[in-house]
Amino acid sequence: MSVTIENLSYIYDKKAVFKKNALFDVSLKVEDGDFFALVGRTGSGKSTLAMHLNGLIRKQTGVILIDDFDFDKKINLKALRAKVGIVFQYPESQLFADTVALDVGFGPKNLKLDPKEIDARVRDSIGAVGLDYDEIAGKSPFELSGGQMRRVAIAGVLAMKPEILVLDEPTAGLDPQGKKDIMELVSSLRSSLKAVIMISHNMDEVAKYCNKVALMDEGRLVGVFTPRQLFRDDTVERYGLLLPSAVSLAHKLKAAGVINDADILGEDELVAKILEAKNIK
Amino acid sequence: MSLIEFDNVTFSYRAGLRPAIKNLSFTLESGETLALIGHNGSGKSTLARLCNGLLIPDKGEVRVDGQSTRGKNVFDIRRKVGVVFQNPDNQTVATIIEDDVAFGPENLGLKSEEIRKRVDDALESVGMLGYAKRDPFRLSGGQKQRVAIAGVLALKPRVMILDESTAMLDPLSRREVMEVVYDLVRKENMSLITITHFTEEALEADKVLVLDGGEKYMEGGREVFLKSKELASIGLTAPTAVRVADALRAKGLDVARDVLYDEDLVKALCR
Repeated sequence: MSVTIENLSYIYDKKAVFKKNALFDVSLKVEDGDFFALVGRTGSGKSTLAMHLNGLIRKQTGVILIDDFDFDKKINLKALRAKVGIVFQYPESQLFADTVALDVGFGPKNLKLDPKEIDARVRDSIGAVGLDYDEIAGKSPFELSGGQMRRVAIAGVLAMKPEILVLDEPTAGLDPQGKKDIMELVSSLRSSLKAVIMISHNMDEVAKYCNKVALMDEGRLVGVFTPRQLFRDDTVERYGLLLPSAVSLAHKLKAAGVINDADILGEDELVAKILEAKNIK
Repeated sequence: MSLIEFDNVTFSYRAGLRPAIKNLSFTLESGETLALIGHNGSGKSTLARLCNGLLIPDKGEVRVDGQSTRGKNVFDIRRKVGVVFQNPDNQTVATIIEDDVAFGPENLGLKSEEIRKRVDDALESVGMLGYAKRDPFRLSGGQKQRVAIAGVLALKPRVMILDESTAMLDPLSRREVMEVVYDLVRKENMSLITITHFTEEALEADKVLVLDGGEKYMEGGREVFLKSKELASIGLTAPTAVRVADALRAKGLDVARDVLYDEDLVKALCR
């Protein structure tokens, strides 16, 4: 079940005097198995694009194909949202129920599923985000740490059994360990999902986990790349982003003649490259 | 007299709960910049709230410019200590950006020309002057945060506390805002406490205070970031250059011990 977007354009406030395209002629394809990153500076249209995918924003012009949903007609939003789950920025701010189990089960309950099925889904999704059901299910979500709350929020989306998971800056605001834990979690979910789409400003995470990156700027798609292609030169810097920290360091070492090329993505590769240049095995 | 002084401060949110801050002492001088780091839940935000009297210590004392936050002059203290929090939505009060930024100075009873000037200067500093007449609620998260920072700048505080205020900005905006903040701090001889998970940001500060479980874990200059093992053991990460230098040393390459920045590593390896 791929996601195909063709010539998608969107304007907020069409009647406004100063209208501005939030999206302009964007075409891209997310295939099964992709861990697809959407990157671009603030206001580049990443979130607007993501919100189209589960019908939070109604398409104005262009084509969106997800499974057999026809975005030109009135879509069954419930069915679409069961297929495409979105985890918003700071999703823990949307927790509301008295217990973790009720919060995670809220979506499935709205689907009017059988209570047994709801219970099974709640158990599965709490387990899938690396939390202990017995320990946590009866607790108030507000007693939990920030990282745990975020996991619970993700579990709530997983309980809808989506095939495509969209995450808007899933690690924003977390400490380094929390960031790493959430990225490992998302990565571990890949096998049970068709595709993961992640909006991110963290190029270190994009370099480490994603197989494709769409770079956006001012509502337009600059291009879709592999992380290695994208970070080979200073392209991202010209679009208001930073290179992954190890790549940035590699570029400086290359400029100083310490290493011959900066064709690396992570620290391990960089260390190996330096050792090679220094003839150390 | 230090601008901010924590004297053996202990604070718990509820009696019987593990203290969020425990026996903490440190000082911040006028014009000094301090990076406050620690994993989530280590007490950083509690410390920020103790600085301007939003929270009052259970034991010990917090003094701002010599005045205890326990005293009656808490508004005086809040004028001196401007805090920008993590989520800008909770800090926006007006429906037009320049009104939002003017809210603080208006409450100080300043003359309208002075308010105008402060608002324009503050908005210009954060690169939002072109948006002065717009609706803050329609901005992106990063833009909103810049407006919130402008709102504090317009108050001309003695010390500015950024409580993960750049967490929602994209990397270049983050860099720009921090440059603006450091420039302002140095120009106005303001002090700064920056609470951040971004090592790059913390490396700019004169001093570093590392908290773990509400207690002081490490304190010092930037050399604190050389201690990658100690940092890793409480879930923090050392700068990339430090980690790469560590890995190279582990493989037998002789790399200078004081490599902190990318440029240091380049220099060390060029030899």
